[in-house]
Amino acid sequence: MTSDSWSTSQLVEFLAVLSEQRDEDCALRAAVERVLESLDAEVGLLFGRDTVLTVVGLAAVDPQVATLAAAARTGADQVWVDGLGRCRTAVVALDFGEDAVRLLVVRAGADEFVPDEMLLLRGMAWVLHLALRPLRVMVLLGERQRMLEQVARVQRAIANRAPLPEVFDTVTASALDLFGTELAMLYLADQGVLMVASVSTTFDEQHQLTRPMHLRSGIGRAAYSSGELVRTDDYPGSAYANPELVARGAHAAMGAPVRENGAVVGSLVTLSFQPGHHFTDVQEQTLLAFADQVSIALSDAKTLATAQHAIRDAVTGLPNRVLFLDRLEQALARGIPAHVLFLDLDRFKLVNDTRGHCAGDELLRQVGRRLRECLRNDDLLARFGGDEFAVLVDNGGCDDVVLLAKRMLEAVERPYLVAGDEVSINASIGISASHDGDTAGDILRDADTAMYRAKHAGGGRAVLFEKRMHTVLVQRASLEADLRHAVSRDELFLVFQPILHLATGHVDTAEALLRWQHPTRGTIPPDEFIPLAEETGLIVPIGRHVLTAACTQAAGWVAPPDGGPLPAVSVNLSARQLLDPELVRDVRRAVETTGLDPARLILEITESAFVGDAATVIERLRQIRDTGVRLAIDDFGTGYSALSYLRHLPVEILKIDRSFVEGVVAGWQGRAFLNTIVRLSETLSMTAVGEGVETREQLAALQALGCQLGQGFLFARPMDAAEFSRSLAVHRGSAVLAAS
Amino acid sequence: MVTSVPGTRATIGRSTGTRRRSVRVGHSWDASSHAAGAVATLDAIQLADPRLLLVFASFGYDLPELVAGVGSVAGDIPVIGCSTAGEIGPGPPQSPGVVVVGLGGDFSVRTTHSAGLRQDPRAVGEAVAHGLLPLPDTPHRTTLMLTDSLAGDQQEMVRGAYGLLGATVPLIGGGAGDNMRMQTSYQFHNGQILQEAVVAAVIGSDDPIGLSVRHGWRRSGHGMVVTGSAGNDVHSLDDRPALDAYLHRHAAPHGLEQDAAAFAEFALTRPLAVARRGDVAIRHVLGADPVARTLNCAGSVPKGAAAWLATGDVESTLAATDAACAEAIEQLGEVPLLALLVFDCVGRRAVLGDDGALVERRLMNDRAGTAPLAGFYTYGEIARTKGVIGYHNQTVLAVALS
Repeated sequence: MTSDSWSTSQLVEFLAVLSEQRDEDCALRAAVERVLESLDAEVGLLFGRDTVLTVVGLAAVDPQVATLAAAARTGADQVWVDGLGRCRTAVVALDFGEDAVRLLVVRAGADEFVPDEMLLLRGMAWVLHLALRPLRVMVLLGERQRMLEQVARVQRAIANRAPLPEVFDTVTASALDLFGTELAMLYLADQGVLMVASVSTTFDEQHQLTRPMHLRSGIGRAAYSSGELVRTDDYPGSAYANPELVARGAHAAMGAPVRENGAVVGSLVTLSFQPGHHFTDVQEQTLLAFADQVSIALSDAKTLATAQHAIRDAVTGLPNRVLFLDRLEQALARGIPAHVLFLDLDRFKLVNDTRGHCAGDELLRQVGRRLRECLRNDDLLARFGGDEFAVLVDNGGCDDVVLLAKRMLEAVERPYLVAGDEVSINASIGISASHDGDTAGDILRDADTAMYRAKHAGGGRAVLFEKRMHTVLVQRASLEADLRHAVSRDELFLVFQPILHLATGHVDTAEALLRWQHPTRGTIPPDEFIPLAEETGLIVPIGRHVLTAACTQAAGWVAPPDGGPLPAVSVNLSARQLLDPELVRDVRRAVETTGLDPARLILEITESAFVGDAATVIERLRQIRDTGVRLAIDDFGTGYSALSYLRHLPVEILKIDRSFVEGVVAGWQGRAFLNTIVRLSETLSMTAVGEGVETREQLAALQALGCQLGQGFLFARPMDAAEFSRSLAVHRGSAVLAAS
Repeated sequence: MVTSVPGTRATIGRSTGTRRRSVRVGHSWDASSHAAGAVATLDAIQLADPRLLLVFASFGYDLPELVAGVGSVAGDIPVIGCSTAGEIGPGPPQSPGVVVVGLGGDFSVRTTHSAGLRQDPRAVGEAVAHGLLPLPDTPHRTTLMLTDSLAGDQQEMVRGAYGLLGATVPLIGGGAGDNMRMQTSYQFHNGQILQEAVVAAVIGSDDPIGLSVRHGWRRSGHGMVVTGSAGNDVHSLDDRPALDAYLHRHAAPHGLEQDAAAFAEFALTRPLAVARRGDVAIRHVLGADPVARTLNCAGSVPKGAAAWLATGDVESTLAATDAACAEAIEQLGEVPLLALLVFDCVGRRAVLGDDGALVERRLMNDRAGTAPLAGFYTYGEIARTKGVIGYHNQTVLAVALS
């Protein structure tokens, strides 16, 4: 599961457990136990400046308890515990100040506490702090249970993947319920300006508030600025009075700061319009505690938003292929008739190429919105990447679906305004229907086949799949058969593209790229046969062949006469290869049989490798790294949010995707993004490589940002093995770099 | 008619030849309860200086008779054991019987029991831990607990035990069975037959004890939020009655929940997966309340947790078994394996079916090599080897003794 939904649910669960405890001692013990369970840790201590309040995992009389508390006070991040060996530690404070009670967590082994875990730990410390406070003041009033229910409501909104505005609305609606008041507002600061994030009222439709966009004064501002609870029982006479609210009869008000990891980020305000209403001290405490809970929820919401990349397309926010397939499989499992409409935009590439990726992305978003408007609530629209969209229609008749396709085509064809220009495109749609025994893959494949028919017929139309269209598949099958024999017939060969030190011009590495010389069809570009190889699993034996061939070549290279180092060779590994249990053995064998120094072999992986079984992939990469072979992330920045993985990966080299290098001359944003990636690589002690360097401007920008290595047509195109060896033998530094 | 097989034994000695440990396993499927207990025990104690007997007996036996049979041979050798829903031993895989494991020589052993799981599982865990103190002062030790998973929150029991025993001793074991009736089970301690109890032994050794736990299940479909639960009962998922959400997502036959036995059989291979750090915890669905529309699980399903339907297949189940056995043995390093104990969930056994179970047994035997193999099919597994979570569902626990 994603760590994010894990942490969200853990906090709710934690809160629920604490609320069940009968007294403070039990709550403390239960809290430490649950923290240990959540973080897979063995020993937990709650300690103050001179005392230890609770110990779990060691006997209270064990002399190691005092030693651990002392180590935690000095900030040691590793300790030795008899019987557990070397352990990692994490410490969080339950409150502010030097006298704060602190929680020490001890975990056996070398695994550091990762940022997600620290976030959870801090969240739990907050919850414990809060839960203890209400335990004291609300234990007789039943308020604690009500608060818990409302917080759970917010957490549920997050865990159910509600959009952030919806989460905010849940927050204010919950506050209304909690206090029985008429108005609740959530303010969040955006670059210092306090903006209204959500308003809930009991006012009827005609009497809704004029919604202020930002807040310079008032009770929300006061709570935000002071970081403390602000309360008035004479709202009209107070310094916070807002004329519109006074006119409507606002009588009493409270505002509490909303924090995120200790820093104030906004405020939560509630107003009563009941004459003579006074907020109580207990309600004050409740608002404070509730606002704190909201803080945790906000942190989680942000984390979850990141996690949605796994099932949602980052550009359009629509479900992605993974989610789509899951829904389709569910429909098939339930025996519900399903139709799939596979839509591909015609001429989209032209827009992307001529107006840039930003314009392309904007266009995709607009297309997504229009398609959504054509559909019923229950229909699922997904973006599969590139210019491909898919729609799943449950329980629809064939005629209805054809009509829907027509509506979609008309919607797409209306002109768009993108970056100030009018743009027109159209689309091709393939339609397939489920039949008994069909898998999700079958239906999608049929829709894809029909879509190609529509495209080949000129585009701008929808085509219903028919079985005879399988001819296309037969052709594909023929290509697959040829590919199966390509290795044994020696039709696959490698070309090498140098990667240069941008400071010295020396060749650092040569990337081995695969080519296929088909006996009758000529040279087949890699983007045609590599996906086929991946789909069919042929990538595994082909990859094995490439690995050996690349190592063999590299073992024969000589150091260039210009004093540059003996270059390494880098080989691309597909996600499929990473799942091959024999991979580590293959790598070891390739290095051993060719006699290549393992440090001169670099294996390039893409971020997509982590979409599936990340744990297995990471473990496999560690094993490869242990052989001395180096690892690089290829096309960095385009895939699955690998930033969170980077810290856990034994990767030394970050190859920045060409789109960022292209973007660097497009404006400050592109440059800022590239700068971030280069700085990130520095922080993680990784080497950054700029890919797709084609212009001197791009080169100059990369050099200015301190990017160490570069690759691209500006320096050299891929060349065959002999040519590369020759070029190495006479290499005297890059002319381009010398000129720059 | 042959109703027992000679015990298999492995003995390992230190190079000095003075300190020795051995393990021997007896297995009988005699129709007579008394005879079965006596014969299997007789086989198991054919070793020097027996220190502990573990008894895993089919629920189908007359258990007081069987325990009397064991006692007639065991004398004052400490015994812990339980009823099962299937045993793992040297005999034929699909014959209900009794497996007795004898540990002899330089094992340090202490046994205890405590009853009252349904009322206060934490107190039972604490009492058991208390009864095992002081722990043996050996370099390696583990606490084997046989529990009644059908009574009370077992993780709470483990918390109680952990609170006293602490992080430095692993807790292992499993839930006793009742031939899939899912109603009650029995635990044995010396001559006593107990219910809703934990029987336990702490085992100390100079050489390593390898432990590994795996499951082999995968999450399926979208996550759900546990919006209502209390202990092992799940009230609602995504704000829908839990039973309705479960049946709907599984496209279950209409009215399934009205037939408790049919539902239990259906649910056996369709557990829930609950979010845990970097993984999921699997929760076996024991039964349902067709009126309240709730699910009853063999383990707590906390409110607020993210949950999924879990799916497994023969291949992944077998792979988990093989990996657990291999990993446990690997932890012994250079020290030879003395015996392989396996606690394997009945739910996994159901996924395997009879043919798959035969393959699984072959895998276990292959990993054990010449060392004896013993264990049983469990209702929940206890394996606190890392962290503090010690109670699992639908997993396989392998224990390598050396």
